Amino acid sequence: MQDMDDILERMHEVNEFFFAQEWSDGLPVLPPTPASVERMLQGTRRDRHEPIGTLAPGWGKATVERIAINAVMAGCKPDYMPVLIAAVQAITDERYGLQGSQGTTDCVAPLLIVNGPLVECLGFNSVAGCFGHGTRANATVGRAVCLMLLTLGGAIPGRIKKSTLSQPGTFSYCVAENVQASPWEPLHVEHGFSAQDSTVTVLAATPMYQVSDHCNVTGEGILTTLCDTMAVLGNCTLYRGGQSVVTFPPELAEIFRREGWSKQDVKRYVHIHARRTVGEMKSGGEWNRETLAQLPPDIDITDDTTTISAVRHPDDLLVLVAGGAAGRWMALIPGWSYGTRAVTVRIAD
Amino acid sequence: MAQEKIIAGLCVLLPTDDDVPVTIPSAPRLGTFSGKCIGFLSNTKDNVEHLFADLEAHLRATYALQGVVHRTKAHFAVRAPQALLAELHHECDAVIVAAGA
Repeated sequence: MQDMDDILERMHEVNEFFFAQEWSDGLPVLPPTPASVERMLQGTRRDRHEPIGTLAPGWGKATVERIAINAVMAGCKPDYMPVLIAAVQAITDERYGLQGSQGTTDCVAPLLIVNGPLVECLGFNSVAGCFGHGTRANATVGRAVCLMLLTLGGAIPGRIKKSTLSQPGTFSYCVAENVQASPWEPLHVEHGFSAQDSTVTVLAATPMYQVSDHCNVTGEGILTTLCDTMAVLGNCTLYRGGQSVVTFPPELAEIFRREGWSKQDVKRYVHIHARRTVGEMKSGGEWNRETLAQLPPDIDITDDTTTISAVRHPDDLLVLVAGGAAGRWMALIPGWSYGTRAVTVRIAD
Repeated sequence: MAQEKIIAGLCVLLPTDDDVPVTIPSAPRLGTFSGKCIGFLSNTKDNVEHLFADLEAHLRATYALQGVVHRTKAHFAVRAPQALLAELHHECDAVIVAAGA
């Protein structure tokens, strides 16, 4: 009993030190002892000193070993290491826009979408409660990535990270696709990977918005609700363009299956209908010179009847099925935009 | 190799990279702007063009500049492409870069 008290006291002291250094997300971490890091490194065949990426704007090099240290702190299993390595490759890809997203006043966090056989092998949640707490893989993989943004990327809130509000996704923002309930090809297959590949897709994303449709019994009706939710003055992507993620629950996905909608049909419909006129957009949101300079030149903003879509191109919408069998709740997750894109990386070793 | 630290008798590996320089050294300063080509790299943020116009006017009024080059990043949120940086490096003796809000 005395030994146990001693261990707990040491863990407490380690956490107090880590809190003081601002190496935590505000929750306690597991101490990354040499033995626990060695155990974590058993989850990958890569050399511990191999550099995987450099995290802006702190420019800390994420070696395999440092990824393992952050993984221990977050509570990961060794088996999650390949997912974390792929996630670091994705967020350090130029297309992700890490440097800007770390310092922006927007409320941005890295959204991780896991696809492929490893979803089941590692126990990622794609069904009931998949965006929430309660599943170790989702919670700790997302957390480890967010910890690295602090410890290696230097995005200390209030200093480097200037997000006005930030968001809960900065603790963890990790979900898997519910392919069993989907009438469509999985996200990674759509992006050119084999169904037997496992991938992680990462997008600099704003918070999830819950979209309710407890009315419609047709695909068109459901998309009417979704489009209305997207084309509001407070949605940045209406002004900035860029990618958004939408998830449909199994109950609504079944309606699209029954009616024969392809994923491309859904995207095209949203591109065409998630619109507001220039006359309406002028009254708020991001109607300012800075944002207008980014509009495609073929959009005539001198004509108040011109319409602008929150999804500039159909493929700017990432469509997937997620969630439990019961309920008609969609999720809308606008990306940060500003030229940043989702990056999909195959999970290797 | 990760740095080790003993805390309350427990050895832990630190999650940070202690090889990152705390400060990045400034570029070498010019002795004078006279006879030099000065670049301006806009980040597209509001009012940067006014700031740059004032700076250029001040430099032109004070020094005999050889020339001025104005370039603009695609967006404030993204880094300037290497080709653009190489062009400015080749064309200019010094570059004034807009950063932040």
